[in-house]
Amino acid sequence: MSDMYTERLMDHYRNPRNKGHLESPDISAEEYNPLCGDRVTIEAQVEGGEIVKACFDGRGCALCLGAASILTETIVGQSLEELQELGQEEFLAELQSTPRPSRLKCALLPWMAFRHAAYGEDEWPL
Amino acid sequence: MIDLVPQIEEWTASGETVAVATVTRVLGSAPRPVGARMIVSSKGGMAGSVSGGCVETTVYEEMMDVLEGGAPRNLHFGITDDMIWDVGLACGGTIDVFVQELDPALVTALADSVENGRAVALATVVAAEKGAGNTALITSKGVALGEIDERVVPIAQEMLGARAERGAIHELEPGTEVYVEPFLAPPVLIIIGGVHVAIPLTRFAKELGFYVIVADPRAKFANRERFREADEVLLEWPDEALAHLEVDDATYIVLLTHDPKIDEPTLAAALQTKAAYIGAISSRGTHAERFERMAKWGVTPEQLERVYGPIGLDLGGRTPEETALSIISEVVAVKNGRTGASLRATKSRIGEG
Repeated sequence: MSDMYTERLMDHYRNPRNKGHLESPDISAEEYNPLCGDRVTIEAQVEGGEIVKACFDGRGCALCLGAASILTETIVGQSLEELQELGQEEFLAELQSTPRPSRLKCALLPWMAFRHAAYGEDEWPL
Repeated sequence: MIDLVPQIEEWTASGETVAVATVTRVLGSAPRPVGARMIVSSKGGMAGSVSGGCVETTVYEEMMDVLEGGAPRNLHFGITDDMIWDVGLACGGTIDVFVQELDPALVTALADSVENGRAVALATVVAAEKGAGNTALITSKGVALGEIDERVVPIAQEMLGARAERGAIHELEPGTEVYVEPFLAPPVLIIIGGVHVAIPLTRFAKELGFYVIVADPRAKFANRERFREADEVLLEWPDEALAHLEVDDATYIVLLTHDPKIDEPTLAAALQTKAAYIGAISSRGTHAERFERMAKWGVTPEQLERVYGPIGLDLGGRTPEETALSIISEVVAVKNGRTGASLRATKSRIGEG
């Protein structure tokens, strides 16, 4: 298993958790990578400032879709305030993956969609 | 014919009448194939050709006579012709040329069908006691415009169904002949992946008469700036595009992305279609691996035998242009039922079709 395609990541790619759409999400955003075609949407239901449900949908590579699945599990149960601290390094640590520089955007696309949905950030920090 | 339409429309718009001469039969070697046409206007304008210049002068005079009220007529030229010292074909072949006045409405309808990708046949009675010159447009549903012996309709429909690319003379009975020429919807080339090779490939395919569709989910690759000449640029996953495109046996699919996440689902989808050709760029090693990888898409090794991979003819090219030439050459060879071998290794002739 490579440092990029870790067991955890590939498990989430092959057995995606929370794939689909919420009936009425409180926050949602889509991100698209025009260089590789990956497209992912993150949706979440927020109650009292805390994420109680999260979903993803999209098409892309194993890295992107595995990361999206992991993200939905990571953010549930945390408050939006707490998740401000989920920077790209922290998210990569969650993935337990070390993407090659050329694939970093694939791995971070779901995280970026979440930042966009939750905080209105739409500039890539890369 | 279609290339002459703008000129025909210009002449008819200015009130001129137009005659057309069509090569309806070729025996032996001839400079222009069956279906070659020349047009002449009532003011003496001339466009197109029916030979390499050998018989045009005579044909022109006959056409002017038709425009002055003369009957439609069949002309025969060849080495054995009585006019050998006057006009004839230096290359030793014989040709029949049918001359008639053009019906502008038929031309407009024909051009409209071709432009909109609808297959249609143009049928003309070229020999008959009565009705020589009768012309009609025939589709798979029947006569769309004009008048023609009803026995011609199934002949034309059979040619359309078989995607016959050339016109041909059919004898309805001794002394009654009809020339039927199909105008098919153009073959479609679907290029999966707007990569660098796809750019000259699109250009070459357009020049060769293909309707070209480029499909790629990556906006940096699939965009109009890169593919100005493509008929369609689809920014979507190609397997999803194949689900809504009409893929028939006149469709040629070329996979160029090198990216398994795009190529694999696309190849699985392409193998479900009736496409005449599926080619995939790869090294020999990658192509061998493809057999293993495609198993997870439910694709069997037998199904994969359809795939031309590594793609292209052995031209030895390295540049994107040479690679594109190799690919389009293979596509054309498959379209024409040939191998792409050098003519000196075959019994075929150049330009034979």
